[in-house]
Amino acid sequence: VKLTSSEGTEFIIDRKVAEKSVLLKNMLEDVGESDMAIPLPNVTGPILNKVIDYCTHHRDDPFVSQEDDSKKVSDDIDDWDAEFCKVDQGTLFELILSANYLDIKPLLDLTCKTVANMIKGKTPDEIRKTFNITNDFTPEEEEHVRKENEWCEER
Amino acid sequence: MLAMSQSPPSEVLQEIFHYFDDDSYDLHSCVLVNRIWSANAVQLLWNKPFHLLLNKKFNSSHHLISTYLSCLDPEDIYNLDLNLIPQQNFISLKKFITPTFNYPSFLRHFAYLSMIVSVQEWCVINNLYVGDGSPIMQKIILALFRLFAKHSSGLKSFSFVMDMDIEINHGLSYYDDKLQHKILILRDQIIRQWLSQIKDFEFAGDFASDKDFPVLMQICRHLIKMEIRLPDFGYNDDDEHYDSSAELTARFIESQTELEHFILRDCHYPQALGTALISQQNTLRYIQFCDIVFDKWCPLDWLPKCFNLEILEFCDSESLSPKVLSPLKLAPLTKLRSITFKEDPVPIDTLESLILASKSNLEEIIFGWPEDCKQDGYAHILNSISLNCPNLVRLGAMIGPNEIGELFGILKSCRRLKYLHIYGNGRPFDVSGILPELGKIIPRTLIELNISARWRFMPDSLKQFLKNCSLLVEEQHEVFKENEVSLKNFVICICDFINDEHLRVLVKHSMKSLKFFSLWNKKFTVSEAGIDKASQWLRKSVV
Repeated sequence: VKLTSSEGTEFIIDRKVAEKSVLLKNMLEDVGESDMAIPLPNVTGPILNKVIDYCTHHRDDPFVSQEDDSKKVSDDIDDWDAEFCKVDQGTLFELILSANYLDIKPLLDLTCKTVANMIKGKTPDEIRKTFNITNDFTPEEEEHVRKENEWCEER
Repeated sequence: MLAMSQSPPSEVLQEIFHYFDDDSYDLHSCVLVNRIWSANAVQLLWNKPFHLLLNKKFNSSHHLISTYLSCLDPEDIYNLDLNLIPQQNFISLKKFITPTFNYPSFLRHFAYLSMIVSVQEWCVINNLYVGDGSPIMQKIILALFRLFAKHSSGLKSFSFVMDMDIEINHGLSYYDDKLQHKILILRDQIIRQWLSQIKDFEFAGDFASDKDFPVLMQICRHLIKMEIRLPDFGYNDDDEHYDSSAELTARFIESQTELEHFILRDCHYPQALGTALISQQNTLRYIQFCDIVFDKWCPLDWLPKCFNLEILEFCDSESLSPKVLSPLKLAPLTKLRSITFKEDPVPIDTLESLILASKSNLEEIIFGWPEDCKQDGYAHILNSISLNCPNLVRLGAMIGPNEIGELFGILKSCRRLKYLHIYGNGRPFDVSGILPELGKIIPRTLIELNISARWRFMPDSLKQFLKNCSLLVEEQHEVFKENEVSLKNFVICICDFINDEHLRVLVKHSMKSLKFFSLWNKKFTVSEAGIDKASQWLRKSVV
């Protein structure tokens, strides 16, 4: 299967690897065998490379259906996956977006878990610092929201 | 380059926040980060606030009520009749101008008693009288119910648990059990309309004395799921209370039109419920008994009539005698996908007739004791499973030293097995000679192997087992095909015999898929760091 990233770089991968993405799987089923490259305008080359790494490593994993993950837990990341997620935040964030766009549920879960673990136990200010987020509340707004949600402030 | 600072789309933020579902602390932090985070986190935080309050250590529920009251329309505030409330006490309400979000609209799971007690706390904090039949409390509760009815269109579940465990009511220390009987809020049409959409209803404890309960019974007729805990026997020094609760519950069950899922937990099983459940025989698919005390005079004779039943579960029962279960033997169910008798002594003939009736429909069978137990004699059942259940996905079973042949039979014929949980019969058993053979026949589909039996084996045997799991085999006379087992998690519960050499073998020889191993209830990653941790833990914990 041929894929082209947003800047036009071409990638050739196994169909089995491509099928980890529900978006590509459906496309391939609709189009059938074809030499045409599938354009992925939302995914850059370096990110697509990472995504392919992930899908290749997990190519033989069984497909987990949606209903299986009733309770979400974030402490079950294995070593390969943890290593895979040791990237700068920009990359991690783009991986989330790509996993969402390409519909690769296990990759989306993994990257979201990683971000959730970065948030856990932090104060709002620490979260902003961690992710370099600007606080766009006015002081009055922030005070309002704080007051309205005071019931769950303490542990 | 993009970063979290350029906020991700809402759906992604929600996906992340779902990992904090039961942790209001982390969600609360997210609410205060910035506008877009706030808008996404409040939806989850306010989805079941009255349930979350039960996990709190401090008295914070009056704050929740303050916010909800600030969401009232001017007209509703007028209806609250402020004259009743002395001006100075109303200050906490007036501080809010317009709330930042439409908080009531996020409510999906409602807990009745938790709400009543929260209002009571709000009144006490604001120096309002909350004694017998306090009109102020009544008015506030009614106003809040109307508020929810107006804004929370997607209410999913309603919890009517009318007693409270002293251990868990930290956040609701104003709990007064005399209060609940006096409140009557369900006369309002808009509230009745709102509650009539509920599909999932839990009621427990002293619900029969509440004046609103009969009204709820009238309103909620289209439940999909019902979870019940009857009050204790001998409540109020006689059994009348228990009997009337059982009777009321029976009428409630009979009034349903599409009940699929029935759960009874932590109480006695009365015959009246069984008689009532017959009325739901066409729709019931899932029946669960959890910590139930049965009585030999109350057999489950209605159960075989629920011919569409797919899941049947008994867990930690008391007095589940052959006589109680015998009706299942006479007219067994044919559509079962899952049978569980966890920590319950199920008679062999009953279990077998269930297996023979549902055969290839069965995907899950669990029986036996996760902990030590001396009972034997399930060889026959294991045989039936291998002969009749090719579609089995999960098996939890008692497998004693004399039943290894039967276990092999199951592994050979149930080729879709994903989870195998081996319970023991209490006796230590050296499986060093058996384990390697097990590796050869484990279905490729197996994801989790959990050994809770008192099995022990040498490191070398473990090595051979792991090697055999990854052997190349000939498939249907074709080419050699990679046949690695997809085992992801390996659990060894009774791990006092595990040493560093076992751990080294695990890291060195396990298949690519194996990510985790657990010793007792402690999970480690299959890696150098993982075995270091496991080794330290073993030295500290296992004497």
